[in-house]
Amino acid sequence: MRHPTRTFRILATALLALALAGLATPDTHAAGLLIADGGFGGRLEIEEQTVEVTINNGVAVTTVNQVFRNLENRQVEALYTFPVPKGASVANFSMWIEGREMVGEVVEKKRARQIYESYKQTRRDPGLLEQTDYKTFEMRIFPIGPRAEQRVQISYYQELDFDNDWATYVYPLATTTREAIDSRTQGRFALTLEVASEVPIAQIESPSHGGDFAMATHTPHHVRASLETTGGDLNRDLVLAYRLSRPRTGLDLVASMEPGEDGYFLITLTAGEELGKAEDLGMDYVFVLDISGSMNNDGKLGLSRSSLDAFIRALGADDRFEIVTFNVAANSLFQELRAADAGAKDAAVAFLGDQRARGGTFLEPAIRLAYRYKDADRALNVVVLSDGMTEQRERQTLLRLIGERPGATRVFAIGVGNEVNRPLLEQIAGAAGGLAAFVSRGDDFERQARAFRRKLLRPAATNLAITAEGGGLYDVEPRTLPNLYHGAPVRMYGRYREPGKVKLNVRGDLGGQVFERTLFIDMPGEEADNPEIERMWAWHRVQRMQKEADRTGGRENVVEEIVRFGEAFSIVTEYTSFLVLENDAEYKRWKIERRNALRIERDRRSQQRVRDKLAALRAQSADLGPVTRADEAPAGATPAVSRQAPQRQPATSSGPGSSRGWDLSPRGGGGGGAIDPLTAALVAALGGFAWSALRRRS
Amino acid sequence: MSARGIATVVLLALPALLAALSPGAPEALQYDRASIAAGELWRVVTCHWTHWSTDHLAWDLAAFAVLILLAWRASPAHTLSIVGLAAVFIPAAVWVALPGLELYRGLSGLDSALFVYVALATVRRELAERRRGPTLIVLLLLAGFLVKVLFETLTGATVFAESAGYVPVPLAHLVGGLLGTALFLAGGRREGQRVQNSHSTLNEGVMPSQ
Repeated sequence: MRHPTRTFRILATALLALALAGLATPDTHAAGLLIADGGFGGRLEIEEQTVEVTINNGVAVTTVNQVFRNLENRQVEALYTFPVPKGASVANFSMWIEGREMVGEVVEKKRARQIYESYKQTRRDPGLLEQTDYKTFEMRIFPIGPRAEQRVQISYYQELDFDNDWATYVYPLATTTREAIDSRTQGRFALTLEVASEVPIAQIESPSHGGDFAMATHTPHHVRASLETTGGDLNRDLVLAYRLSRPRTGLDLVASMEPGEDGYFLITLTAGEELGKAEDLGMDYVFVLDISGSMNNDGKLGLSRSSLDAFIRALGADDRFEIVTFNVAANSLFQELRAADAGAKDAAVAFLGDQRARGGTFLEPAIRLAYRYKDADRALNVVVLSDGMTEQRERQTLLRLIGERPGATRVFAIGVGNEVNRPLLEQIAGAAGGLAAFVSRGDDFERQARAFRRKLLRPAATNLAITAEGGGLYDVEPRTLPNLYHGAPVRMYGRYREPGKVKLNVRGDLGGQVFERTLFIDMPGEEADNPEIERMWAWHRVQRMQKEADRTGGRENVVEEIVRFGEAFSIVTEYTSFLVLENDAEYKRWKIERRNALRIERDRRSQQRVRDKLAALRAQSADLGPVTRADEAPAGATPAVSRQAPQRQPATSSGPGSSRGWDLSPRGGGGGGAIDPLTAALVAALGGFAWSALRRRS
Repeated sequence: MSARGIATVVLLALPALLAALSPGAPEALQYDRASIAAGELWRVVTCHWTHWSTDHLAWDLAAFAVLILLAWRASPAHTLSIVGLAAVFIPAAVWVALPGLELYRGLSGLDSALFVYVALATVRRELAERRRGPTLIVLLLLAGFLVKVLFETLTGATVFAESAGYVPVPLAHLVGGLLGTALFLAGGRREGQRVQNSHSTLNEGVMPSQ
């Protein structure tokens, strides 16, 4: 039998360890959660955080530089958990070891973890960055010496969401999930954002930090915004939105091709202003609001209320609506569709104000209830506001249910907050002929609501298909194009074998009529300015493989392929991680190819070229004199000053990236000899007289 | 109406229907600036028989059939000349004057040429018979057409809202109208004499009974 004193000593030591671990307060900061992991924990802080964002034709490259400091007098392991925005793909992780940058490499997830753990035991310098779920990434660094600092760099790529010509960039800061934490930065925080766009930028603003940003419109194709703070309050997401103005419907092409390799392309199809005319005959809406317990986190219920208020206020006099709330059960406000008059809107706002978040999430009964409101002669839009935390087992049932929706019914999903289950909501919307949108704290809800309603009113074109002759185009993503909405472009990625002229046929249904255009585009032979589209192509491919596997029941068959893509294109997935080792010799030892090191070198050269071109544009615009200086304004909204006429087709590149645009619009691209009613009447009248004259002659 | 005339109407109108019914045909036959530049010259002529939509086809084709019937009765040779020349000259004018227009489809350019030709031929006939009222009305119809085309050409606006998927090209109507006028004038003297003779013969035939 063990001696009681010894047992007590062991117990006391264990309690002391637990107490010390508890005292090691997790130090949380903007844009993530930083803790000293394992052992006795410890105190860490982010001394400096600089964010550089370059948005090149809708693809954003965000590079985050962070300096961590260990506040302990001993070695600790830093664990930094951070979310990335919708559709983002982590594309690089670097650490500075003995003053030298070591670029990480993508390795199969389990192997990366094993290698990392093996180094931890020898107290050498590994770093590991892995994806924990669809939205969260974890970075582990060991060891950080006593009072030492550690510099790291993370880059991620993402496509921006477009809503009614507004592109929104969100840098997630409101991600803390624990109460009573200090959300003020300890050191310097700086964010610089450069937007380069082939389509002219009409306006830029920050709905979240309007007055804090300094913005400058250098040319209609290049805008810059920056924010800098020391010890500031950064508990809200940083949101920047800019509006593009493409006067005519058209295609924009961005390509990337290395000598001797097949190229990559991104074709963006945008509905122009001429497709914006639509008659508002009124529609039916059922807003399905999630009031489950998870909506309590991060103020998501409040966010949903604000969004829903704005959506309901934006309804027209001919619209009818109903609100359904759900947690473990579904409940409705009116038990009927009510005309969107002032009284109904006020009742809805009051009803929303009474909602409290509690209980589990069971979306299916709510969707079934919503379908019951379908009237035979009116289109029904079911708008789901949820953080999408539906149980995994419900997915298949839910998707089946959506497949069984009544005719002329669309399901639109609005994800609320940064924790939202985006893949699920996108899958729901995609399966239901609708689309998904995401709202974040700091968004302009009224603008979002107006834009969303416009999209509900009219897809500009449905059943879209783009086919090509020539160029050897292949591996196109997505395989089926979604509907084209006014102000929300459709993007198509792919690869091509042969540079030169390619004949594209664009076909779709436009207001019940077939819309068809043929045009010739030039695929470049060598193009080094847009390497980001290579990763975006691979990322889309991986996403599709995962979605298809989920639909068909299991991912076992696609894991190997996903790992291959992750390693080849240096993208972190649920099955691949970034691993940083101390030096090149260590990579060799583990037989890890330095693919990412090469890729990063190339990416940086390209980004430098883009920055140089932007700098040249800035210098050029500065030469123009007072107009440019007048544009410089530390304001929330900056109207872009147009110095150039809208592009002609094919458009020559005016921005720093290399892209080209072609108008598809009728006025510019497709005309027709048309007999209108007046001419027809003239013909008919003439016919009468001429026939009569000819008969007399006979 | 002779069988030959009906056959001509059918032969000239049928390709438009066939093109509309054959998948891919409109794309292969339409005026496509880039393809024409690449050597696909048939598009210059075939573009008239392609259309953007069923509505577009129905209106253009109905007018075409009526006008071909009328023009054929007035002069088969002139009808074929008008269709042949307008089919080439209208796309040529579009090529020169509208370099930004990538695609063009529709019969209405030919309709315009035939409309003006038939109207002028009817005016001449009515004048020959000294029927002032009908002459004036037909002239007014002609003037209405010309004013509309000129207004659309000069302002770039359309009298009626543009159709989904394409916009009318007034230049095609203007060029068509000018060609119709030119061919009427070119064949005017001989045709005028023929009408006059025909009128005299008719009068002579009537006179004895009076």
